[in-house]
Formats: sequence, C-alpha cells, structure tokens
Amino acid sequence: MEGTSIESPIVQIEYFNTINFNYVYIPSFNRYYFITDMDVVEGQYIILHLDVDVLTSFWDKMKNSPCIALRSSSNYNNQIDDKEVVKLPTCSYIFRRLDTAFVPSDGAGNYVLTLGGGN
Amino acid sequence: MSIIYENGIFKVDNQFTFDGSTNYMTNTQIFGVVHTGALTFYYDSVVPASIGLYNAPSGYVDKGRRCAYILTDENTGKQYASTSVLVNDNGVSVTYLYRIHNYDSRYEPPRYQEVDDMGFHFGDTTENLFATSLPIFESLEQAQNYILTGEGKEQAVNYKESDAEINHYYIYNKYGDAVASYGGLDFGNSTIYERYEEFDVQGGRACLYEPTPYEMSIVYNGTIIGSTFSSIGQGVPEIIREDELYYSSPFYDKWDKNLAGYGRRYGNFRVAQYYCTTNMLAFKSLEDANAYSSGDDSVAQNAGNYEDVMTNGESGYTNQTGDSNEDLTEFGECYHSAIFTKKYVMSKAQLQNIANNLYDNTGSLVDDIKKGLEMWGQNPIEAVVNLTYFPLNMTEVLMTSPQSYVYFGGYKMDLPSNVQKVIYENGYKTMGYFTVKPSFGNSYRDYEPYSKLFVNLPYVGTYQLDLKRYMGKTIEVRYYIDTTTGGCLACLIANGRLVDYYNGQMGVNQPMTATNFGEYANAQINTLLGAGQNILQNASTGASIGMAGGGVGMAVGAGISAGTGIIKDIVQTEYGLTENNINSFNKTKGGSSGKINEFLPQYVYFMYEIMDVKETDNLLSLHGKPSNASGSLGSFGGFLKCDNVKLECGGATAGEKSKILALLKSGIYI
Repeated sequence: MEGTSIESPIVQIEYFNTINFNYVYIPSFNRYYFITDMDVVEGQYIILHLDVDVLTSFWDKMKNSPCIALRSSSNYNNQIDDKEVVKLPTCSYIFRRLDTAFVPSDGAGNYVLTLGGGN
Repeated sequence: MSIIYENGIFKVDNQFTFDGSTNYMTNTQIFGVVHTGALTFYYDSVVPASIGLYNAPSGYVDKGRRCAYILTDENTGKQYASTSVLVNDNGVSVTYLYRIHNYDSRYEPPRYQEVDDMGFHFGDTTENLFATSLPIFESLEQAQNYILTGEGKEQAVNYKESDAEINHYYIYNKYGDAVASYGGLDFGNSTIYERYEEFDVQGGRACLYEPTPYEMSIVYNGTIIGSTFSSIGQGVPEIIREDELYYSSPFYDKWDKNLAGYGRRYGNFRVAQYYCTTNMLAFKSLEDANAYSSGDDSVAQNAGNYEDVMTNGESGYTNQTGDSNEDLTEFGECYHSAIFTKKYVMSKAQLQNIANNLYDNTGSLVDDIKKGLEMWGQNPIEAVVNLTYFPLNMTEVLMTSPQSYVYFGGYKMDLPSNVQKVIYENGYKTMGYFTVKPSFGNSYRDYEPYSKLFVNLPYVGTYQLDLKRYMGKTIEVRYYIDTTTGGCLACLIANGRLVDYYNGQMGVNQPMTATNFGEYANAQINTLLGAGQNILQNASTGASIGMAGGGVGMAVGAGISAGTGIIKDIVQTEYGLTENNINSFNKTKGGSSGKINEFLPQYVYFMYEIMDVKETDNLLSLHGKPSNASGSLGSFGGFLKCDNVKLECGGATAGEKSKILALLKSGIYI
C-alpha cells in the first residue's frame, strides 16, 4: 500500500471469519513481522499494520557476530557483582571459635616478676 | 680414560668424566660388562657400589654424538630403541643406558615417555609413543660407526633431509591461547624424529588432576585429555617449569631442594627436585576435577593449590616489580635479654610465698634484724621492677629454666619450690587455625561488601579483616607477648604469611604493697637503741651496738647477738609501737591496665557477616547474570544482554540494524 515500508509495511489481506494469528511472514521480503494493528475495511478485507521482527528475520545472518555479553543466562561469571540482586538490610552471621582460649581466672595464668639484681 | 673399540664393542678402561662432572660414575659399578642390548661398554675398573641398570645415572651431555639403535624383543617382536652414547673430545660417555626419563631439559626435548623396562617403544603410532631427536639405526654397527665417525646418519631410520620441521600446537582455554612451536630439534648432528600427541581444546576450561604426587593429568570439560607431561611440551602457559638458569623458554625447571612442595610436581619424572608451578587448579579428586572443568566453581576450593591460584590470579597481570611467590614466611626471633633485671615466671602460690616472706615479721626480733642485715639496708621492694599477671601459662611462650631462688637486688631469697627464670622471651602462643572458605562457591557474594569477616582478638579488640586477603587460606592466630610492658601483638598469618597484626594489652600490672623490710628492721634497731641504751647501761654488757642505729647495713656487731636475750624481752612493747609505723614504709607500684580485658571473651573467634539478599528464582532465566564473556551471539543461550556487538547482518537496512543493536543492548532471549 502507499506509504508503506519494508520495516513497517501496511498490507491489505482478504478477510477471514476469525483472525487467529498475530504474526506474519512475507516471503518476498524474507522477513517476519509483528502485527501492531488491524483495520477492517469495506468488503472482505482487513488492513494489517506490521512491524519487522528483526531478531527472527536476521538471526541466521547475525548469530556469528562477535559480542561481549553484559548479562547472560548461559555464560555468566559468578564473581562479578550482580547489581540486579536486591540487597536486604539484614545480615546473617556465622561464627567460628578457635580451640585455645586465655584463662584469666586465678591460678590458671602466670605472674611474671621482674626484679633488679643478680642471678 | 681411554676408549677401546674392537670387534664391534667399546671398552672403557677407567671411570670417566663428562660434562664437567668429575668422577660422576665413580661409585657406580654399572655394569661390569654393560649390555642393555645396545652398545656395549667394558669398565676395567671395579668400583664398589652396585646400582644396577634401573638406577643408571643420568648425565648431561652437550656435545658430541649420540644415537640409538633398534633391538627387537624376541618374545614379543616389539622393537625398542636401545641406548644413547656420546663421543666427545674426552672420549665416550654414557648418558642414558636404559631409560631416558631423567632427561635434562637443556638438551633433550621433554617428550619421552617411559614404557617398560625394556626401553622405549618408538614408531608405534597407536600406543606408548615417544619421540627422540636421536638418530636411530637399524644395526649396532651403523650406530657405532656413526658415533665414532659422525658419518652415515642418513642411514638412520628416522633421518630426514630437513631438520627444521615446524610443529605447532595449540591449547585454547580461558586463560588464552597457548602456542608452542618447535623448529625441530637441533642436537649436534642428530636428525629429527618427532611424534606428538596433539590437543585441540576449544573453549571451556581445563584443570589438573593429580592421581599421584608424580603425575598430573589435564582434565578438560570433564574428560582427561592428557598428561601435563605432554601439555608442557605443547606449551600450556599455566604450567610453568622453572629453571632460570638453563632454560629461556616458558618451560623451565626449578631446582630447589630446600623448598619441598614448591609448586606442583608434574609429569612422571622421578627426580624430586624438579617442580613446576601452575595457575591451573590441581585436584586430588578426579571427581572434583571433572566437576570444575565442567563449570562447577564450588569445588574450586578443594584444589590443592587453590590459594596460590587465587593469589596469582586470573587477573592476567604482569608485574615486574615483585614476585607473588615471594617467601615472606620467616618471622623474627628475640634472643636478647635484660642484664640488670631478671624475670621470673611463677604461680600465684609461689608469688604468695615470696610476699609472705617479704612481709614476714612473725619471727623473733632477731630474725627480723637478721633479715634486714641480709638485705644490707636495701628496700627489697625497690628491686621489684614489675609484677604482671598474664592469663596463660607463660612457660609455653617464654624460654625458661627452673630456679630455686630469686634475687631482690642483692638479697637472695630461697624458695620452697622452683620458679621459672626467663632466659629469652622468644616464643609465641598459637591460639588455633581457621580456614576461610567461601559460602557461595567463591562468587561475588563471598566478598565485600556482601560478606565481611571480623575477628575478635582477646586483649586486642575486634577488627574487620580484608576478606579477599584471607579467602581460601588457613589463618593462624598467633600472640607475641611483651612481658616488660604487658603488651601483646596478635598476628594473623595466612598460609604462613603475616597479613595483619594488632597491638593490645594483656598483662595486668599488679598493684603491689610491700614492706620495706630494711627500713623496718632499721626502725626496730633504732627503737631498740632508744630503749636499749638504758638497758645496756644497766646491763653493762659491754657490748657495742656501734653504728647500728645509723643503718642496718652498717650495724654489724657481735653485741647484737650478745644482747639477744635481754633485748627480746625488753623491746616487745616497743615492737608493737613500731608496727604502727609500717605504713610509712609502704610503697605502691603498678596499675590495672589490661585487667578490664579479662571480662571479655577469652577465645579468638571469627565472625562472618553475610548480607541477606533477595534473588528471585527466575533471575537467571529472565535476566541472566553478569557475564563479561566474549563470543558470537549464537554461542549464548537464554537471556543475553550485550555490551558491545560487531553486528554482521547482511541484507538488513540501517534502521533494522539499529533496531537489532538496541535490542541486543537492552536484552534478548535466544
């Protein structure tokens, strides 16, 4: 139709009793489209407003493009701080006590007496 | 040494020297007549030790010619390379008569593989491969001719016209590509005969599995793909053999007999002095190795070299200003002691006994005066420099020796039981050990600010530690104690290295009140003189107290003892009076610093503080996790949010490309 484009074409198709689709492939464009709007016109026609699904349309061509992933479900690094994780104001605590302790109680420790003088 | 070659065999008429190592084989009666099925040597000299074939000494050869020849096992039909010998300016030396496992990396390629006691397979393409740069001849005669004349190497079965065949090997892993190339081997006049196993590891991660202390295998994505033996030959950068002296390539050995356990041993070399270091995690458990190499980070801490790897890191830094393996494990020692003071460690009962002795005035007046005389008019309490209580058995910390007396200045006081005289204050108290392990598989949540590590150090305080410095390490908490000040130093030592230390106050100076028995005795004598003058006059003993009233130290007179009976009776009353003046002789020393610490916990404890977070169950699938991984768009799955893309998308319009880029940067599902 007039004023259309390959990225967002507007097409008129024959009317069907039920419209049970929301996605379109146009072989001549070799592209997949989302249906963004529909207009019913006189007769048995309907006008579809489409918007190209670039990912599906070009995936095979673009999948070899090199990239650096910011986030990924499949290849991630647990050592990088995840800002998406919500911090709570609370904390948990774990304690570990070492085996040896000082014993200040009477008789358990020692006195050190420093004296001036000979041996 | 001379060499005799006759009838197809070599004879060596004496022990020999090679490679500057004189008499290297002096104590080896190797063979009498050596016959390994290979070249034959005769030693006319008889030397006592018998080592035998399997311990044939290794040696270094740096010139001359060597070769091997083929012999066939009559039973199996298998062919073996025999031996190698050297002819140099000094004659013939034996290098490896039987085995080549003890090779010298200066001159040999690290790619021999021991097979069995018969020698080495070669040319077998299916198993038990080895490679050698030595020319291998089909007959003994050819080999001997080659050694003696240097001619005929083209007869070697492995002879090649070009001795510069290039072999490239590639290992890919997360640390980057490693490439090693060998332009053939240039060993004297040898020809090239090389065979390698090859790895082609694409992506993923590798680690080491150490089935025995002498072996390691590379595990890649859950599968053993080879041994470090071959991987070293192929140039895995994480496995570093160190020997700065001899080898300029990244593969070098370190010979350090004093550092047992340095680095990780590798391969199947049986020379304990050869080690290597590695940045790859090395596991004892194959299960762990498989898990880690398959992507499970939680087992990383089980690796024997976990902390080293964490320290040396994945940062990929190259810092020429220091060495991450610098040995900082030595601590100082304290072997000096005061000259004019002495320290004694004693129990409360022993101290009580001394105190009672000093205060004791329950004896007779004469006893008191005698004690005063022994003190030579000194105030013994003045000799007390310090009295400090420590809440531990100080003999565990200090070097002491038992002694049955103490000196208060010049006054020697015998004791009913031994006290411990301090010889040196060289020692410390270890409170225990603690290994810091990650709670979340060594993820970012194991580090600050999400996790914090605190330590409570009795008598010192509670401090927050820099968690990353301790993660994966075993901390020793060690106290050094200064008995002079009562101060203490709590050291946190991670894997032998001092990381943090804090000062505190442990000793409690004891408030101490004591009687100046010297003055007390003087007072008694003065009293005695005042009261006694009349008596003496009346008694007409004729004895002279002399200058006693001027000071006990000077009061030396036989008259005291002479008048004992009289004095004792008369002075009882005066004695009581003088007791009232004791307070004037009292002195107080010390304070109570450090005592308050006794109310606090007396054990060292660590406290993890882990920040609670809310991570939704579907965060990973819906929004992924931080990645910073590189790859093609197609190599990712699920959610993907890109930081940078070099979009290759033929046929798309500019608008579509920009739409794609916008989507990739906002996140897509694949």
